[in-house]
Amino acid sequence: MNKRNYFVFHVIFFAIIIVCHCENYTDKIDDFFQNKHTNNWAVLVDTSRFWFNYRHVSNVLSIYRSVKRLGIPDSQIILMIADDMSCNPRNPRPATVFNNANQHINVYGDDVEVDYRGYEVTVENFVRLLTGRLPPDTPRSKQLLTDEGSNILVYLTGHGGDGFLKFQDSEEITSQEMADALEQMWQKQRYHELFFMIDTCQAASMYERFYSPNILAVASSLVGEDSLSHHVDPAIGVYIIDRYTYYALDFLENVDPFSKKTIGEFLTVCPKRVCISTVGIRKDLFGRNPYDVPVTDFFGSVRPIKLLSNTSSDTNLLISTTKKVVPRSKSQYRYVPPLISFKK
Amino acid sequence: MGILTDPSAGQGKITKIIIKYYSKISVLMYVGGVMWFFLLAYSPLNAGTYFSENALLPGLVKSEFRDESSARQYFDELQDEMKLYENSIPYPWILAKFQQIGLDTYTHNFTLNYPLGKANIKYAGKNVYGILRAARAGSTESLVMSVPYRPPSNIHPSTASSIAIMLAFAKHANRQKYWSKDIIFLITEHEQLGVQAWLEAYYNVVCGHRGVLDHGDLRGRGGAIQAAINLEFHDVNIAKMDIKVEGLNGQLPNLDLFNLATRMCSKEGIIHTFKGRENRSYRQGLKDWSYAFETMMYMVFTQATGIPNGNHGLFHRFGIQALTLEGISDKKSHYSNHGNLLSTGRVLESIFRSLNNLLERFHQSYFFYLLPSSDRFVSIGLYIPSICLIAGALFLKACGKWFRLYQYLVNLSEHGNNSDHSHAEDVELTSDLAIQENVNTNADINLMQIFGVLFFTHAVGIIIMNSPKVITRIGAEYNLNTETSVYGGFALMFAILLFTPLFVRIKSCYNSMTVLHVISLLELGTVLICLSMYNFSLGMLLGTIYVPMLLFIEPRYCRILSCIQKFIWIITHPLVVLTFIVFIFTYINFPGETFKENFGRSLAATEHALIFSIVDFMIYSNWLYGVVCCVIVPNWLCFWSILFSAPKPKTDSNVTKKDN
Repeated sequence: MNKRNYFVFHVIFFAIIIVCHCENYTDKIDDFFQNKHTNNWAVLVDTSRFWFNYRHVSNVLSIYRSVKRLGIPDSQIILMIADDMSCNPRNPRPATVFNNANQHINVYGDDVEVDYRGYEVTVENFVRLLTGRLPPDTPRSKQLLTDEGSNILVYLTGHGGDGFLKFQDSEEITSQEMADALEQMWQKQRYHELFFMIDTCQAASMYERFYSPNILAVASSLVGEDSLSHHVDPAIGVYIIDRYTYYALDFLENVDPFSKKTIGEFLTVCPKRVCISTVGIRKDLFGRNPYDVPVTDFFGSVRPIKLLSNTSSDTNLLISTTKKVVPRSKSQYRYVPPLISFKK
Repeated sequence: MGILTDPSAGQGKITKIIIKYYSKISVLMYVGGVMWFFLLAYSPLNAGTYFSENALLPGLVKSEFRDESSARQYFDELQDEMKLYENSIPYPWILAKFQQIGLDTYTHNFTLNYPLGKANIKYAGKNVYGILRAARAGSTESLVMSVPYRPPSNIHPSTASSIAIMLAFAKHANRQKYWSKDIIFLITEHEQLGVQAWLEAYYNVVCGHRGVLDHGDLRGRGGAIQAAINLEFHDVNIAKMDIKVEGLNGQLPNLDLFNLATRMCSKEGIIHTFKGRENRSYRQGLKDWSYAFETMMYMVFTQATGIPNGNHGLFHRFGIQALTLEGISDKKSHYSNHGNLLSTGRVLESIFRSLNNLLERFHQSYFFYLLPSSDRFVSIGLYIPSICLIAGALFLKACGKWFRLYQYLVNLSEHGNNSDHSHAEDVELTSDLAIQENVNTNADINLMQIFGVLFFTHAVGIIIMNSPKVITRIGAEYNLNTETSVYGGFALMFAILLFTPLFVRIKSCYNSMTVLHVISLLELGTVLICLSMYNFSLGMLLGTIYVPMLLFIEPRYCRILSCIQKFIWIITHPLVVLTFIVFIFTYINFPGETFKENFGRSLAATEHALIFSIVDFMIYSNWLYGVVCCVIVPNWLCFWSILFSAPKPKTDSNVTKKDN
């Protein structure tokens, strides 16, 4: 009797757990459909050239590697790199770019697709890319083919100042130009939400002028501060990565496509103690609480999935028709008469 | 504000102040300028050195050079080889080593046609160089590592160990794949002459007088040279690395290069010195200042001569940043005769790898600076005010004299007019007559005569500048050696030119001589400023010597004062100054000798110094001789004539008094 009671108790307990779980499960499904975005894009830009700016190339390639690992395909990543570090004659490890001193990870591996390289990385090309005003013959790999359902990650690294970011050694994009470009994107319905990440000196000045909705911006340093490099690789003889990006990558390395880590957590990866500069965050344009937004909303990728509420017979029919196997005709070869002369 | 010749200008407040106090203010300016200069060495008033070129990435890379044994082996081999070649480079051995290492190896012949003395004396020389071609870059840029070869017969300390370390470094470097620039390993003969000839051949230009140095031709080049490091290691065991920067005409390498060298020496644990002096801190303001000031003055003296204190100095003209690393041997501790070639090799490796990172020529940081120690510097912005104050004293004096002359003339003409009208009213008739007389003798400013004097003195300067060739030819006819004939010739010209004032016809005309005085002051002031823009030390030293004299010099009535002035002015003649300085140095350096010995020695030294400066002028185009002949001597002559001119008429005081 006692034993039976015990069994019943167990059954009830498990039933409760299962029910709860199911309830939870359905919640998550709803959550899933609350995500309004349907696809993910990334624009990763290194704006500076020259050997001593090795770290900027390694920054951008590291981020590239992470977003690719988290599922954004190459076709949806626009990678702009202003200089070719791997083939610089000063590089003692030719054809590689490393992002840490022990040379664990070659971020310039076999499958890196650089879309804009060298002198193609200009302010004009960057703004045209964002706003979609590219010449008609531009290859698809160089276009940002986003729509109103796209979540875009914009990552910029290079040398910045108060209110500008230097491109190459010759030109700058101002914060106002940047803000206007994003506004154009919004008006042209080119994004759903945009995560703007910038690792430069006085980086926060770049997002100050933003006025378009649904933008979450994070910058490696406030106005008046320098962003610092993290460490030197004595074998290569250059500063190999910047502090902010280093700690951001440290975080991203522990994220997988099914991870529940949020952007809110991501925004705190580099406290002043380790970054030395103060990380600037702007979330007033962003509608949601960053702690409710998974990191994978921007760094990962969603495949366009349409879940249908009820299975209709039509679709079944369709499936069955497609499954129909066409019987092979036995006479595979027959004589085909020559072209008929219509003049007759 | 009116212009100078505007009649109303004389009435301005500033003008009045200048007229009244210009002599005092100019003395103050001079003292202020000199004080300013003295204070520059005080460390709170100058700045610490820092890197401003991002691309250098100084010393970030780990040193990989460890081929000490082959350096040692090269050194031993070279020692044996040098015994076979008493007076020249052991060419076959060096060529063979360069080729074994895998460099493109070339030789370069040059000839010097000695310009003085009997015609057609020729000296031949031969340099050796090897080029390491950067494997992954086009041969568009290069770096130079040079060593002046000194055969055993040379009086200077040997540089054999620098050749050994150069070869070992070349061997190491040729195996590396990270070079973005060619490296030229250059071994030169005949000290600076070899480098000068090689550089002229590299760029196919002639820097000195045509036909003096036949630079020959090069068969291999390596693109634009970005930087050069000259090595003078005297021993395998190097205790201190002295870093030399002063180049031809006082040109200096970019401060970043100097910083790089000091930083790399510190990194590898070799003590570096500047002007043979380590950085010291006594933690006492005055002591620190005097130590730093002494170091700075050593630099100033070296820079002022315009003679490079190492082979690096000849590169600067071509926009190549260069310095000399002189390894001073460790005499005291011979605990190891193995030497510290490893550290020196690593210093070179670190410097060259940093230079390899350069993307463009050195263009950041400073090109004009003074160094009170190797980690502090005085930038041009800090030191230029001192020379501006000193030269400004001359300008102020010129200005004051001009205003006074103008005021005097105005008063005179007014007074003259008044006296014309009031002749009948017999007001101080005698005084009037005197003034009338003065007006007659002084009124006209004879511009033609003034320019005549200026033209004559400057023409004389140019003639003196070009005379040595002729003088030595004539001297050779009378079997005098070159040195004596040049010095004798110059002394003779100096003596003859002392009579110049006899032929200046306007010397009794106060007005004209004042204008000449003003022009001469302006000329010297301008020259001082211009000189100090390029070679601050020279401008500063000239200014410090000449400006107080010129502030003091004024035609005077007092016979004794006038004689003292003339005597002082003779002492400041460049030839006398040179002789005097050499005498003092000889006396200091050879204290035990009798006066006669000292005199003979210093006279010979003076003659040599003169000849060297002339030869430097002809071969390397060192400006010092030219500047002295073309500007200082003519200017000296102008003032010499002014000293004999009529002083300000005494009546003038009456006139001004009346006016006031």
